[in-house]
Amino acid sequence: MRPLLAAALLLAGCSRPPQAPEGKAVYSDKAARFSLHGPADWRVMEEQGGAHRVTFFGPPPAVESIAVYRHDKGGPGGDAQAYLAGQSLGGKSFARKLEVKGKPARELVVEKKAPVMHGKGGELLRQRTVVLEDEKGFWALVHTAPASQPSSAVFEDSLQSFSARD
Amino acid sequence: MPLSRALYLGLFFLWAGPAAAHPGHKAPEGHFHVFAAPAPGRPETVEMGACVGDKAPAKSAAELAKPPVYEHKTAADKITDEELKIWEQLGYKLDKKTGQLSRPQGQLETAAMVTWLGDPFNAASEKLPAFVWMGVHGQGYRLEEATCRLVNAKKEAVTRLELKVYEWWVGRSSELMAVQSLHAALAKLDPSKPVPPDITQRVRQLQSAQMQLPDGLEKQLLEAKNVKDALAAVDKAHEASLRFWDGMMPLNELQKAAQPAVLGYGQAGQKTYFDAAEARLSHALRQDVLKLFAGNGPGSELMSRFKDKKGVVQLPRITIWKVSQRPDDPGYGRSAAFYDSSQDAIVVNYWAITQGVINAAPETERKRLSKELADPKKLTAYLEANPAARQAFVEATDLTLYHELTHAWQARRSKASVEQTRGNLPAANPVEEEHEAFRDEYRYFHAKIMANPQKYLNDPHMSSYLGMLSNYDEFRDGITRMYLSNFGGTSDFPTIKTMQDNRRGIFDRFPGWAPGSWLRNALRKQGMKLGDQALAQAETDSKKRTKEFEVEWGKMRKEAGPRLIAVYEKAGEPHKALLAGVGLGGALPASELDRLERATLKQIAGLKDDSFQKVQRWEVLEKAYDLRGKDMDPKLDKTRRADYSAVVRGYLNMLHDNPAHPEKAGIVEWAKTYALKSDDKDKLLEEIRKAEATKR
Repeated sequence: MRPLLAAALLLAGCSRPPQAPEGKAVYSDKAARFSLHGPADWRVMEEQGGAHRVTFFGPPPAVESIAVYRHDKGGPGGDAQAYLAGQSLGGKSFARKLEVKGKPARELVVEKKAPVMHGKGGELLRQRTVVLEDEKGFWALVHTAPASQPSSAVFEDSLQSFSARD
Repeated sequence: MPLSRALYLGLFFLWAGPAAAHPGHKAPEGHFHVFAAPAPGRPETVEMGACVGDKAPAKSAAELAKPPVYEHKTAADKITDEELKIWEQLGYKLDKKTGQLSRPQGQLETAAMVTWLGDPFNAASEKLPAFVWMGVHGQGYRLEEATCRLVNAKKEAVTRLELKVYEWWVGRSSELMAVQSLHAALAKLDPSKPVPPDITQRVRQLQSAQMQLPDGLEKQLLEAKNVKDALAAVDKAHEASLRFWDGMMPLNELQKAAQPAVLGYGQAGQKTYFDAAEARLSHALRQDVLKLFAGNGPGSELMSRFKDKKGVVQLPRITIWKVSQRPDDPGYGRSAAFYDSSQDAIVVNYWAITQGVINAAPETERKRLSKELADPKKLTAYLEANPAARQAFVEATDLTLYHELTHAWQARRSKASVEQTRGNLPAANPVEEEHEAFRDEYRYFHAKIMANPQKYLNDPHMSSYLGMLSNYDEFRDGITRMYLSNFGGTSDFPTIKTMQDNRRGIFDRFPGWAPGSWLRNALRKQGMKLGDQALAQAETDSKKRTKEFEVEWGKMRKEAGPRLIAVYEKAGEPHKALLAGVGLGGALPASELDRLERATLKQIAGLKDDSFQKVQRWEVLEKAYDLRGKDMDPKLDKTRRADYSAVVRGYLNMLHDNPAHPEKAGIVEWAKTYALKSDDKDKLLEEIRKAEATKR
C-alpha cells in the first residue's frame, strides 16, 4: 500500500493535476495509463500482479473496496463477456448497459457471500462491476461492499473521474 | 507465590510478539464444517468442559474488597521482593513505613485481594481475555482440565498476578503496533486537512482487535483540529512506545541484532513440548502429514522445502490446544489453526476439530468420546492411540495444514520474520504472505481434484476453488478485505516500509551524547539496515512468486475445465458442468459451451413441474448466454419467464401457509429477485409486498 497523495501526483506526470473533491485524491498509476479519484484516507494496494492495477480499501470493520483491473485482448482472463460472466458466479446478478462520460459501458451488480476464511466472512456482499471496453481490451472497475450497507457515493465519483490514456 | 520464570522470560519476546505469533492463518473454511459435518447415525456434541469461566467464584468482589487492608509486616501471604517488582509494574506502591500497598489510583489494597491475586487463576469461574489465554499457551502453559488451572511443564500453576502483568505487557506491545499503524496512515495525508473519519474508525477497529491505544491518544485524535495535530500526537505516542521498548532491549541483544541474521532464528531455541504426550502426537501427526502430502505434486514440493542439510524433512511441531477459553471468544476462537513462528509450531484449535473427531469415530463410541474429549489432553491421547482417527483428522484438515505449513516455509526462507523477532523491523503481518498461502493451498486442492475429481465433487472448498480459477484478482482482493476487516496487525510490504521509515525518524531523535547512547544508536541503525534489506528481499521474492503463479493459474484453468465438466456430466449435472465452464471464461471452446447448454435445456424440459430445480438451471444458462453475448430464443425466453413466475407462486404459497415462516426474510428476497425475471413482475411484486406485510 502506498501513499496516495504527493507521490501519485508526481507519478501522474501531469503539469496541472486535475482537482479532486474534498476527501479525495487523484490517483494515477506509475506508468500513467489511467487516473481516477480515490478516497484519500483509504489504504491502497498497487499492481499485485496479473490484471490488477490498484485497489482502495476502506476503513474497517466492514471494509469496502474499489479496484481497477486492466485486461488486454488475448489475455488469460478472456474478453469482457467472459469476465462479467465469471463475476456473476455464485450469486444473484443483474446486468445493464450504461454510459460513462458519454462512452458505452456495461455494468453488472452481483450479490454474493464472501468466502469464509479463518472463521470470518460469509457476509453478503454487493459487487458492482463496470466494464469499459476499448480497441485493445477492457478496464474493469469493481466496487465491493457489504450488501447490508447503503450504496456509498465513493464509487460513483471514482467511476466518473476515471480516465485512461488512449 | 513464586513467579514462573518461563512466563517472565517470555515477556521479552513481546517486543516482536504480535508478529512472532503471526496471526494468520487459516481459514477454517470447509474444515470447520467438513470435519464437523453431520455424522451418519446419531450425532453427539462435544462437551464444553468445566473450565469455561461460568461457575460462581469462591469469593465475590465484595468479599475481596473487605478490610483489613494489606499490612506487609503481619501479612500471612507476604509479598516477596521479586513479586513487588510486578506489583510496581502494575502501578502499585508499597509504603515502606506503613507496610501498606496502594493501588494506582491511590486506594489501599486489601489483604484478601493480595492473597487472591497471588493464588492460581481458576478457569472454572474466571474468564481470561482471548489474547492473554492464547499468549500464555504460547509461552508453554496448558489448561489442566481436572483443576482448571493453567500450568507449565513443571506443573506450576500461573497466578492471577502473573496473568495481570502479562496482560499489561501484551497491552504495551499492542500499543506499539497500534501507533505505528496509525502513524503510517496519517503520514500520507494532507496535514492541513481535517482528520478523516477513517482514522477514528481505524481506532475502533484496533480496539475491537484487542489492541490498545496509549492513554489519552484517542481523545487527542478526536479533538485534533487537523491531520497535522493528530500526526503530532501519534508521533509523540510512537516515540514514547519505542523508548519504552528500546529501554527493555539489553545492549548485548542490540549487538546480536546488528549481526547478520541466521535463518530460522527464533525457531531454534524453543522447540520444547509441554509433555511427552504432546511430543508423541506431534511426531505421529508429522508422519501422517508427510505420508498424505507425498502423493500430491504441490504437497511433496512443500515437504521438500523442509529438508535439512542431510535431506531429512524437518516439519514444524503440530500441537492441539484450546486456542481460546471458550469456542465463541473473539480473535482466533473459531480458527482451525495458526502458525506460531516464535515456536515454529502449528497450533490446531481444539474447538475447531474435536467435533469432527467425534463424528469420525464409530457410532458406538461417540457418546463416551463426547464426554471424555472435553479434556484436550484426552483428545491428544485418543489421536495418538488411534491411527485411523488421526488419519481422518489429517485428511479432513489437509488444506488448513498446507496453508499453515506454507507460513512455516515463509518463516524459514525469509529473513524478514527473523528481523521482526530481533526488533529490526516493525511487527506487522504482510497480507502478501496470506495471498501466497491461500493460492498455494488451492494449488494443492487442484492437484487433488485432477487426480480424483469424482471424490471432491461436493467438497465445500469447490466454490472458493472455482472462484479462484475464475478470477484470481478478485479472490486475492477478498483475502485482503477479510484480513483488513478482522485482524488489526494486517499490513503489506510497502506499508511496513513506511512504518520502518517512521521508526527510523524517531530513533534519529534519540540523543547520541549520553554515555553509551552513541553505541546503542549505531547498533540500532545497523540492525535496521539489515531489516531494510530483509524486507526488500521478501517483497522481491513475493513478487517473483506471484508472477510464477500467474503462469500456473492459466495452466490450472485449462486443466480444470475439461475434467470438471466431464465429472459433472457423468454425475448427471450438466448445469454444474456449464457453470464450471462459465467460471473458466474463455478457457473453453464455443462448441463445448453449446453442448452443455443443450444438455441443460434438455434437463430443464425433463423436470416437468419442479420449478425450483428449473430456475437453478435457468440461472446458469443466463450466465452462459451472458458470457457469449447471446440473446435467448423468444420461445425459450417465454418458458423461462413462466418458470420464474411459477417459482414465485411457490414462495407465495409457502408464505400463505405460514405467514411467520422462520425463513421469511430470505423467501421474500428470493421471491422478489425471481419476480423481476418473470412476465408478470408488477403483479407478483405487489403480492410479495402484501405477503411480507402479513404477520399472522
